[in-house]
Amino acid sequence: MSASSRSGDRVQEELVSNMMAIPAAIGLIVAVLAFFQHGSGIAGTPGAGLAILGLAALVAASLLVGRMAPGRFRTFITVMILIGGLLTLVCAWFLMQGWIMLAVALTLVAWLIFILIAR
Amino acid sequence: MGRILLLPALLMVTTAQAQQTEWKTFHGNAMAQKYSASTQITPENVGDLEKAWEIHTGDVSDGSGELVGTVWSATPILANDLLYVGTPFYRIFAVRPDTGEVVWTYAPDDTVLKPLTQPELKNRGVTYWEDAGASGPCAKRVYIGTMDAHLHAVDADTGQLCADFGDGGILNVNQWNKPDANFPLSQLQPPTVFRDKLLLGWAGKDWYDAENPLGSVFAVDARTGELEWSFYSIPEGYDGTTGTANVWTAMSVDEENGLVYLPVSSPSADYYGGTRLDPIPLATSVTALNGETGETVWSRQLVHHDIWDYDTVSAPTLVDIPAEGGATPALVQPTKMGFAFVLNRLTGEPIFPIEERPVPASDVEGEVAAPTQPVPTLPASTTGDDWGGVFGLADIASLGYCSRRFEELRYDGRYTPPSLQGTLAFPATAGGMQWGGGAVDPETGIFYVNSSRVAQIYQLIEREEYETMTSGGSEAEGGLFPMFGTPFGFRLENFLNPFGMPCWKPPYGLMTAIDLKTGETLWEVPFGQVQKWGFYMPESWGSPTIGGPVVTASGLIFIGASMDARVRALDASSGEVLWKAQVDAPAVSNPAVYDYKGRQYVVFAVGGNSIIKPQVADQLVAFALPE
Repeated sequence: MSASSRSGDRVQEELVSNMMAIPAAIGLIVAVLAFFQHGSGIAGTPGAGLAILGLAALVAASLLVGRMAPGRFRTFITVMILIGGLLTLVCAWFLMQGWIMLAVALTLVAWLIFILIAR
Repeated sequence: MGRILLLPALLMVTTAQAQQTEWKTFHGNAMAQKYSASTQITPENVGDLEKAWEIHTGDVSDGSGELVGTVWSATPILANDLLYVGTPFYRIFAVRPDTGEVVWTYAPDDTVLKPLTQPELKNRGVTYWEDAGASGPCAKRVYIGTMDAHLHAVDADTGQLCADFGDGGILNVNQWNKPDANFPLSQLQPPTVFRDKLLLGWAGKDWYDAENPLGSVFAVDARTGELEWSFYSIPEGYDGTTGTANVWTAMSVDEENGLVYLPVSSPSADYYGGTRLDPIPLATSVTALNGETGETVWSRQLVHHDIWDYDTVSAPTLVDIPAEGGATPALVQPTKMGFAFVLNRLTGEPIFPIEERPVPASDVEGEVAAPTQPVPTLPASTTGDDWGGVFGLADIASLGYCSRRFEELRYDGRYTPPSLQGTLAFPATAGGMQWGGGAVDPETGIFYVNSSRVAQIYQLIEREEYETMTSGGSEAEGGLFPMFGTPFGFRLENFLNPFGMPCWKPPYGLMTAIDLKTGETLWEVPFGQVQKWGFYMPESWGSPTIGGPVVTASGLIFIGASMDARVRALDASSGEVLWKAQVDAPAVSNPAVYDYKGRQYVVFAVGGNSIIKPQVADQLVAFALPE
């Protein structure tokens, strides 16, 4: 495989990882607003805090995974995104936060694409 | 001539409709029906309901500062073209019914904001009264009570004190307390109006001592505050050994027959009756008085020798049950036991048979539990007769804690007496039905009521051992109660696993529709959602509730009450949730429903109650259809 081809793959992976991070970041913003907004139903609750932590971790991991060289550590992070995403999805479901659920679902769709294109 | 004849008839119709669509009393009308004839909001369009206005009173505390927490259970009153509401700081707000614009406020000068009787600052609103023969200032009045046992009367137009009432507009209700009383006669429930009289019950601190003020209701002149009659629920001779059996919640009134109905609470000590073994027939009863004289017309005890704190918990709902050959004058008395006693309100005789059933004996020295308790054959209890066994999920999550704990407890079914080993009480003092009571559609004779299914542990503790413990808590929230004057202290706790999960099976809250014509349950559905750490549990679990429903002629039930800080509209024919909205805290007040300038409003005072969730607010919010 040529250097230019490898470079093209890396660009593609970085793009898809950004696609993972964007909905997660939107979900993070929604969760932060819900945490502070009186009347959101989950304002100031540990559950909302957990959702914020989960989404922040998803954003960070998504950005990171597209910029890493293939290897065990990247595989580990990729699996952790799936596990973290599913747990955050469950968390959002129990918090009855539809927009956060949608955001995490989109992140997981992007994760699937990442899996398909990653070497 | 025809027009002249038509005019009075037209006026009568208009007046009747106006009364039906206003909200002049705590329960909408004196009969505590919580019924609105408004028909603008229907099951078909209720989904379009939107927030019309909201205000925040500022009278709120979460208990983290100098003030203890607040509980706001006020029902707004629509009268005199204004909406009146009291706050937990004992202020009155008068606002425009259609915009929420504050017209005036009244703030007492020297009220003590301390938990003198209740563990929190608490208010259930205000009372409105009109002097039919008067005009000018104070011809229309609004009253608010305080925890330090004062009743304030202000002019309904301006909020200025009415100088001819009490002492400069403030009546000291504690003047009728016994001189060495251990607590003031707290005026948390707004007075009930009977003609030109205000009927005053009171709240106390009955979980602390055996000896307490004897339960009483005072009728005072609405103009002057002068005492007209007083009623005592405990016979002479008991002074020094017991007390309370007070009326701390709302009363209801049958204007036509001149009767007032009192939901009388349990005597003290709440959980040990060894100091009061002789019968106290009016305790834990529903009692009818002649409203003019205060004489007892009839009384029906709902729990004999109450040692479970099964206070008669809400105003009985009065209704003429539709029937062939004429309506039956009835009352429906909701109870913490989950029973709705349906009685003839003129005689107190049961409309559906009540059986005296054998119940377990006490194994505690000095205690003699009643051998039988009254159980209505219809309607069926909303809680069921048995607690239903350990909740597997909670048991597994706690590695068998729930099962092990249950094995340690005494449980012989309903009315198992408190014990030294600990008794599983189901239903317990947390209910069953609670102080919000039920609502009735007088046209159909269908009664709607929310209730909780909560299992609690009652444990008596030998005095010597109790002295080593630290007291705290309240009757509904749980904790340690000294019960001074008895050989025992007492511990009350919800039956939860170490993670806070209920050890008993869901549902934890229900909404029930009962056909009063037959006593049959028409439908029963889980109501509300439990919320813990922000997470909502499944809807099929329901939620414990505080606060009651309102039913409308268009076939809707409006209610807050649930733990999840939502207000809802239910289809009265099925219990299906047709609309819900998030509010700032659990709306533990009864809503008010009224028409104003051609638009129907549903208003909730949203304040929270730490019994179901540590979340407080000061939100008064109105919902209506889009203009």
